Amino acid sequence: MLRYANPTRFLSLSRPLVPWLGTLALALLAGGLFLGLRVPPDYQQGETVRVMFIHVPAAWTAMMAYGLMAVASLVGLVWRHPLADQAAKAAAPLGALFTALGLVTGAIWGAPMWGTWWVWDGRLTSFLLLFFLYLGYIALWNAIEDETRAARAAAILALIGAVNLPVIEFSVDWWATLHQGESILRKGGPLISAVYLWPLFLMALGYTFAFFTLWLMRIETEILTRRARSLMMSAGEA
Amino acid sequence: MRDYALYVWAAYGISFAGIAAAAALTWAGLARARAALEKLK
Repeated sequence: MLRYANPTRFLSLSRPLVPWLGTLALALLAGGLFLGLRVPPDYQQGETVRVMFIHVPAAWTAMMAYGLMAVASLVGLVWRHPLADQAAKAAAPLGALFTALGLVTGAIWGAPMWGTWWVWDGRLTSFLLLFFLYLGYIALWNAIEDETRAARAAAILALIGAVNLPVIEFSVDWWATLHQGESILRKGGPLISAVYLWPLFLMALGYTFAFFTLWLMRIETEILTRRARSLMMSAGEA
Repeated sequence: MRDYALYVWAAYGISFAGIAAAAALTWAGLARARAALEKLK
């Protein structure tokens, strides 16, 4: 693993991977879209069940992105490796995007099904907090000029914020929420019919691969920007 | 698709527009970084 902590080695692996991951993401999203728009309406939710196929993957990807950002931040803090900091930094805007998509699609589903766009229940509030954590993390990186100090401060925020991940996950068990309980990844199997699981599964994989494609591209951007900055600084010193 | 069609299409439209915009911005950022580094070499 540490072998690939070298930026040049990392790029030699990530560059050929990106087109494959991107193609796979597009194929999975197309498959998920095709199935998702063809399944019959749910007997309770009607047509709005289709919103689940994009809402749940967005929420999962948002949490996965934060988990990866927190792990990269920990590696950056412990081993002081710039690549880990860059990986964490690169994940944040993508995580914020998927969190925003999860919030917006959830509200769009909630309006016809719950009769309200928003409630301050445990799941929704902790998920909104995730969005603010992403924004705070991005703001912190931009607020501190010295990159090493910025990385350290942002990493500490990312690690503190990671406490929110189990809160989001178990909020539906800990508190009485309007948001339904765990219905897919649960003991005893999913509560959802297989006909709805397939588009959900394809979309979830599509979102995951889309995230990894964009993440690798953003890490490369960070590496190249850092190299350009070093070259400019050494040219300035000469 | 008549019932709540607007909600479904709005959710799909926003989601795919968001992902497409992120892909375009990421690609543009990478292209810019590559060009900037190339210029300095």
